[in-house]
Amino acid sequence: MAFGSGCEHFGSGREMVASGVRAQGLGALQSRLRAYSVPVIACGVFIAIVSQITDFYLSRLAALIAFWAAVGMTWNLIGGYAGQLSLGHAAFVGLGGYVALVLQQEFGIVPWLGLLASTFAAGLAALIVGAPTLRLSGIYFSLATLAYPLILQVLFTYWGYQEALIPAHPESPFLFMQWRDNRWYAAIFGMILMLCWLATVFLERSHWRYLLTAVREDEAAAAAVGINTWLVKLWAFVISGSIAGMLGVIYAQMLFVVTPETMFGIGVSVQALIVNLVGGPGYAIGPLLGTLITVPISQALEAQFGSISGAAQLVYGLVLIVVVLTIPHGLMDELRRIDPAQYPTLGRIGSLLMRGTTRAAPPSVPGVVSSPVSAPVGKGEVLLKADGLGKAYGGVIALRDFNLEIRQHEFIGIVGPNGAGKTTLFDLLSGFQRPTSGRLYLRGENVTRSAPYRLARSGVRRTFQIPRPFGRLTVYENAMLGGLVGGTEVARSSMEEAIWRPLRAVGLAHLANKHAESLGPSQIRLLEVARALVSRPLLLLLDEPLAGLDPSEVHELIDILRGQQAEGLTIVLVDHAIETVAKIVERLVVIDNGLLIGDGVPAEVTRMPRVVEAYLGSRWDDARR
Amino acid sequence: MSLTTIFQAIVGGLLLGGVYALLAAGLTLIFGVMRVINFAQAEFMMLGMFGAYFLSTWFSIDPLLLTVPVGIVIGALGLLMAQGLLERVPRGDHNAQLILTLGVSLVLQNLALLLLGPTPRVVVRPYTNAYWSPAGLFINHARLYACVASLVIMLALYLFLTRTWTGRAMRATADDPLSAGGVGVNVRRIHVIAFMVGSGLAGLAGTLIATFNAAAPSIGNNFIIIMFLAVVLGGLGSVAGATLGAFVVGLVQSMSGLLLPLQLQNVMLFLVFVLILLVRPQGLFGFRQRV
Repeated sequence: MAFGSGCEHFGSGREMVASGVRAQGLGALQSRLRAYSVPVIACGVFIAIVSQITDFYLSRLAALIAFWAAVGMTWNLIGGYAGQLSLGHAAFVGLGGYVALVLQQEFGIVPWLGLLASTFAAGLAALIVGAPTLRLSGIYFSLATLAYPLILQVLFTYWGYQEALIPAHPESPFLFMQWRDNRWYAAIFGMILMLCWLATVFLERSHWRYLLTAVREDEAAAAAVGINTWLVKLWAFVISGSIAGMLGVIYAQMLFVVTPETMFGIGVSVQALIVNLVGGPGYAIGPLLGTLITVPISQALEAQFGSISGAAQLVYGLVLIVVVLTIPHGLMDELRRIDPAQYPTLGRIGSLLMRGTTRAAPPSVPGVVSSPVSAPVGKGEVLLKADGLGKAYGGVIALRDFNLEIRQHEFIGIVGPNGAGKTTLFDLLSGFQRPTSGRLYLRGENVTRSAPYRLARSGVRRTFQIPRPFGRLTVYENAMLGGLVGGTEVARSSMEEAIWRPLRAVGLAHLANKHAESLGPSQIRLLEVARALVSRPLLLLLDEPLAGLDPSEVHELIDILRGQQAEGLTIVLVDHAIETVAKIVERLVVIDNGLLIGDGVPAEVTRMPRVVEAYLGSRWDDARR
Repeated sequence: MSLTTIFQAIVGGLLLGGVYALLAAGLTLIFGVMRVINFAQAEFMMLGMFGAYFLSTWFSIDPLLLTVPVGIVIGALGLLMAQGLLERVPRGDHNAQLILTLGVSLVLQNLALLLLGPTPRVVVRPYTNAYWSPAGLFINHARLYACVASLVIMLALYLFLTRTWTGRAMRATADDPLSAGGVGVNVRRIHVIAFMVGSGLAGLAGTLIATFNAAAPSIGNNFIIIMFLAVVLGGLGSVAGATLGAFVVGLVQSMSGLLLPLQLQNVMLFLVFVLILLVRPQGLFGFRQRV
């Protein structure tokens, strides 16, 4: 591959820029109308159909479909878009239902006011529970969420609500949400479903989608581009929980007789999960599609065999198994991957369902760039200072008493044999690990205990030894994420330029619309460099960027880096190939066994007896010959 | 609260813990080797309980004698599940595996509910209601036998893991699947065997529990959090840790019976479970593990 080819192939990229500019005009309005009109029209059609249903069970089914689709959409926010597999969504649905119920039973408060209280209570519960739980990763998060509804179920049983009967008020159904006719429930759930759907469409078209997707795809990479992953997940969790709580209130009114099992049981959490898995988590319409398929089946089974027979749950279990084995990312994902040329009908259905959302061009967002221009740094000023940094893992000391001053405009290479402590040092400098001793200063400010996203926002950006692109996003979107959060805001127009410049520099501009997972290994490495450069960082930390590149590619990458250095960037590069690094950098730092053993001009450092003895040995002599 | 009540609670907790150890060991073995959280573990236990119930009532065999044969049948079922389902999804896809085991759990539980109905079924043996009372304590014979049998099986498991080639290969795979594969361990086969052994242990535990606890299709729901708690307490993946954790859970459960109303005993367990998960460092900064 050639790095300079970006300009020739820039055509497709320029189209995207053009669409971005156009998007601010009439086109944007049209596309926005198209996207937002779908839920409104669908809701209108739904209510029109429901108003014609006179059968009790059919209207109940319609209400349940709207209810579960809406609950599914709230789960989709945390489970689909943010990628956190929650097995405890029932906690919020149930809490909402019970708070309003208790308020009505004990204090005679009408459910409409209870609705507000429940929404607030469920959101608060999500905040209290989510704040610690969302620090857990993957499987641990799922396990913890499993326990929350069970705790609530036991508590509400203990408090004497095993079988709570909602006080009947047949005289004023509207005031007490107690309609004899299920169509009213269907209509109200339909309205809430529409609002959830509109909110999801809004999410898909805003920068929130990118924040959530970055968190879902790779939390470490998200932190490296300055995203506070915990806070993003917490927002999603709280919004998801509070709306689920609101839905729970009306659901409880519709059921009329409420047991802790029906509100908090695993069945509720599984239903929220299953409508998403079938439809496609992370797609706006996924939960609705999944609900339309699963809820009628389970209702028919319950009508046939009775609700406590277990028939519906049995079928749900089978559905879970079959879905995971055959369509692991849901129906929407299958539809998306269908070639419209081969199956025109399915392709048309797919594009209709995804209208205005998933396939939309990335929104041109006002980005933020920690630009050195806005925060001038004097040449030679100390940017990052490690003061006696040490790191021990149990009894193993990976790094001890490490002192290093990184000055503005330097190009430093850190080398050492495998296991010397390079990666540890790198993680300490970028905030990904905390030192067990010593301090770290960024421009004089103590940042020893700063989270990685904070350092990234202050202008310290890193790449990873094993590259971490956001695989299911395009090259352009990957680069855009590099500048989405940071220190200083820039206007939309300069954001476009800030994204394209590094992409052109590393020669990936012509691949802007390709998914990152389809790139080759060396292209992915370059994409990471470009992503880090978009924010115009003060300091760029590169973790073994040369690994896997052939000599000409190494040469070209070095040219790019030198160019960036000339524009004021400070670069630190870690590698074990001392021969290569010594030729590139202006200052060489050698570590061995967690100790700094050499620091200075490469030519001098490589002659230091300690360096030669400890690390280079005969290999260096061979290399110089 | 007299001293005897406290001792009674301690003894009761230890007896329970002995049986929980089997359940927890199976679950943690599966997690340690395959990195799969098996939600169906409690349903395997439920099947073991029903196996003991039906065989002992039909053929009037003592459930304690059925422990091994029932355990083998449940193990075979686990083998089918691992081979037919779990090995079909990508190995690193934890969410898919989690959902699969959740699906199997729902299927088994509700199939049992459909076929057998919700009525609890009790195995009655001479030792079911017999007590041994040293120093004013009450020790139920059934629970005592179950605990002793469980400890014998744990010893056998220990010998299997440390003295046999397969057991060592299993530990090697748990430690580092790549290196294990590199020295000639068939990792896929070990995964399946680990799942078989793990679910077999749940089946064994089920037959023992059936002697003092009524069998019902939804009985697993009462045990699943207990298992998870024991496993999480001991550190996911450690058999010795899970054994210790099981005894702690047994003690917490029976001690909280002294302080809390009966219905709230489980809340105590859930709270401990959540707290342990939250303060565990492995979970706190999970993404660093992959760096």
